[in-house]
Amino acid sequence: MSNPAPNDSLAPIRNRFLEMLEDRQVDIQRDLELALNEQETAAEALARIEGVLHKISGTAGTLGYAALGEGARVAEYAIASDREASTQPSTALFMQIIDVLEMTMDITSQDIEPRIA
Amino acid sequence: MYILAVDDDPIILELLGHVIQTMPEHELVTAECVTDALSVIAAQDKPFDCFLLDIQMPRTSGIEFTKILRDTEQYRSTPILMLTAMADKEYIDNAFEAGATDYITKPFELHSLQGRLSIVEQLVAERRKNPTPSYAAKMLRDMSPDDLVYELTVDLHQPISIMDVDGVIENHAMENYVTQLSRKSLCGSVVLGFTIRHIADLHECLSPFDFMCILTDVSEAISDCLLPTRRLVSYAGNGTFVCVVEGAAHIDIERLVDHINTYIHAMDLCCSDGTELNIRVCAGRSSRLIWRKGDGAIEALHQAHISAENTALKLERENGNIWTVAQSA
Repeated sequence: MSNPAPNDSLAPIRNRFLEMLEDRQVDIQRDLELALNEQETAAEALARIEGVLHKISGTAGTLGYAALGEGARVAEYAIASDREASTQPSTALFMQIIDVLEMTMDITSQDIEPRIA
Repeated sequence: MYILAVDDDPIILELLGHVIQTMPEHELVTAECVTDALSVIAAQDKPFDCFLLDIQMPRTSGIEFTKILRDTEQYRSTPILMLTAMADKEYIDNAFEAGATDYITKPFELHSLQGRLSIVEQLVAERRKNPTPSYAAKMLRDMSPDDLVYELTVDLHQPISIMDVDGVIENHAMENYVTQLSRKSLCGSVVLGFTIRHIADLHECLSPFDFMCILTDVSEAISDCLLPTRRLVSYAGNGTFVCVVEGAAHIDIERLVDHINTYIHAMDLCCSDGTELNIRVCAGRSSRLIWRKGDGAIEALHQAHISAENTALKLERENGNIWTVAQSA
């Protein structure tokens, strides 16, 4: 968990976000493997990832993780864009999701500290 | 204000709680889905003053919930702020079309959210002080003309809320819509004003009920005639409607005005006593919203308003002061 600054009033909410981020990370990993390995259920797995990314992008920035929020937003849009174009998920798309996953890992292992306003 | 926030992300609800904790004038109730929100509403003794709704939620979305709220008498005009991580114009258009008052993009800055809530609070206070627009709309739906003809007053210059017409939103919601959208989102849109000709005469000689009916019918005609183009229309007062129309840079205004006037003519509009009315509109110059944002976009709405009214004045000068109510009146 993060080490909040003494006057960081958002610390309790941030800690809860980080707890949830660990769970979300597991969910993304599981669905990413499904999307990569099982073509039949890839669309459903990607839709679930999109939902998780949507939630991350909605709050990460407010809690001091702007880069994670932006990465999640970009990956979320990329999934939506692939779905609308009815194209097979591209390697680039999977790489974007993996980038977000790596960021979540860095944050939950405290390699990335929040930027507290 | 008594606020209900609905979002399926508990972190958002906690953040909202954190913000509202610092504003003692507000009280927050939260729900994680629309089903829970409906139960909360049903169990309340006092009505909510404001809603904060996530757009994308499982099962019932925030946009669908907005429609549900707008269909109830109690929340027909209560401010609804959409919370959205979606910058897509389509989602925002759908939200405003459903009756949203404004939207806040996630992730939000806490200070910015406080500021937006303060603006909504002012709106709620103003409405409590001067409830005429929604009062007028309520009258239209629920009371017979005989009952209300002596009770209702409608200020000619007031931007009245017109309810239950597809594509027609409140004037302050229109201002929020153009203010919040990015330059990129607005670049394909034009703003255009329409004025009902001889509106002051109509206001003078029609009952408030009949006047409101005319505004509602004309708004429907304008909104329908702009289809299938994506459009939002609001009544800005003084017989003038301002419209934001997507992808209509080369709009043929003359033809559009003819179409609207033909549509209105086919409505066979008349007063409560059966007197026929010859209602016609005219349009001002259209202007593209590209490079306009914030105050610039609001200024474009005002210019469209003025331009339409100037056209009406010019036509009145050219054609003389034609009495728009049939001589049988």
